[in-house]
Amino acid sequence: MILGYKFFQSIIIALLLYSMLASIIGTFIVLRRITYISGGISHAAFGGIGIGLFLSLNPILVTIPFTIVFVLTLFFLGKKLKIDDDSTISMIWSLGMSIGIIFLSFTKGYSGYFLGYLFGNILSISNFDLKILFIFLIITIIIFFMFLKELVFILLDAEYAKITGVNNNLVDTIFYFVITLGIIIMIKISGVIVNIVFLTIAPLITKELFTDLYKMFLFNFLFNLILSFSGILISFIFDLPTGPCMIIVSFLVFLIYKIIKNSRQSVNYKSTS
Amino acid sequence: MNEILIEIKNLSFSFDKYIVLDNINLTIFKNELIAIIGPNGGGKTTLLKLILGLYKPLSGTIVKKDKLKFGYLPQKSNYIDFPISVKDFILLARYRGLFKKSEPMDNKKLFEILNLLNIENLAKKRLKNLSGGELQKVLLARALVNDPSIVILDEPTSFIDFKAQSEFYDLLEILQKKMSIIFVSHDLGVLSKKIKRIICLNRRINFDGNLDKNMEKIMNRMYGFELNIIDHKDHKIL
Repeated sequence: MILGYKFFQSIIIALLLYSMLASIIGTFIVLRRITYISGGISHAAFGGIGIGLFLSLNPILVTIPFTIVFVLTLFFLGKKLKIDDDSTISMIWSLGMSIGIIFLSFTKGYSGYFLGYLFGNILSISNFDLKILFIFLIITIIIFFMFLKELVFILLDAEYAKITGVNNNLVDTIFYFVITLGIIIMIKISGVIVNIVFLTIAPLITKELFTDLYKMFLFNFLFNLILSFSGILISFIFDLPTGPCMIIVSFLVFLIYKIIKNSRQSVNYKSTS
Repeated sequence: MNEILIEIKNLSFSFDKYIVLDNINLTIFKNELIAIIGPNGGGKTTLLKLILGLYKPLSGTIVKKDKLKFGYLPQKSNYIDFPISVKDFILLARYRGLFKKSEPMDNKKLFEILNLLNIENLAKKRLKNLSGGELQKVLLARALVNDPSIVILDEPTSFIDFKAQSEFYDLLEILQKKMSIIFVSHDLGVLSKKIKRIICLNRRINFDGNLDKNMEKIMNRMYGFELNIIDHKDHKIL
């Protein structure tokens, strides 16, 4: 056996944590229709990675505080200046990326990091990374469930939440804080592109299947877990890059689900007409 | 004199430079049933939102009695497709935020209200799958679920059929024993119901009081449309 037991153990733990995080965050960004935000935050994080590499520090340690401050500041400014969330996300996206590229241009020999950033590199995950991931995952999950009711209430009816005494601004800030944190953690494992897929595909399917948020979390988790393992398996068997394999598998599953769903609907339609 | 719940003095409000409400003075008493009518853009919804604290007055004051609990049925009711049942949706209105004590989410109280509105069968349905009329009844149930001292209904009858409308007005009489009710309606049929206090709002309060011949003139001026009040034995029909 070329690869050790310890190595597989790390991958499995990382994937479990990753799927759990993706299921919770994905559920909310899909229901809130801001899937675009995962792209925005991921690219903002690139600014932190650039600065970290420039300063020769562990990128993840710089990226987390940098991105959170950066994203929250821009959302705060956006609200003050009455800019749409959509436009704010675009600014976060391009500005963060630009900061990263400027710092990377001062740093020699790191262009190879770019591909890892786009598609992640689960196979090179270190023990230290895993520990950081685990700590922040726990923080994210605790905060998310503490404010779950508020988040649902605001999402459904922000006005009514305000009337009953929910502090909408505070909860919104916490929401962006948690998803920023979550998405940065996920980049380390899967990269920007894979992130977007993992955050959106499962919730897009499960939101049509369940009337219960917890069931949605659970099934998103299982769905992401199965998808990521099958992606890794395929990449091992055919010796292909892991990230793109995960994306193609997710896309195929989504396509098949939609085809089955639509054909069922048209059958029902025919039988009633 | 009855207990005062809300006292509004010299209230004005504008969106950008467009004045929506101009020098409003209004006192709302306990167990009062008030209908607000007026043309589109006359400031009805804005006034309700000011009372609810969703907007801040440009000038003037709104003094509310301590610990006043509101129930609210909004005019716009376009909900996203969220995986939530009608029951859980209604119970959210009893939530007060993480740091405050929420009211107990007891099912007994909820089903009393669902029963009163005749919609127990909807409890387990997905919110998004409701029809317009069903949703309006669910929103009414939500407005009532936290035992409000004052309930504010913004066009509560716009999506429901005639039978349900008639039932709705009967229901108002029952509810009035427990709470104050303010409702906005374009349905001039409200004037035929036994509503003691009608407010005609078109940026200013043009009329505030009982239905009479004087009001007919004001209504005609306000809408620019000929309206006649016909006296019937029990009540008046416009």
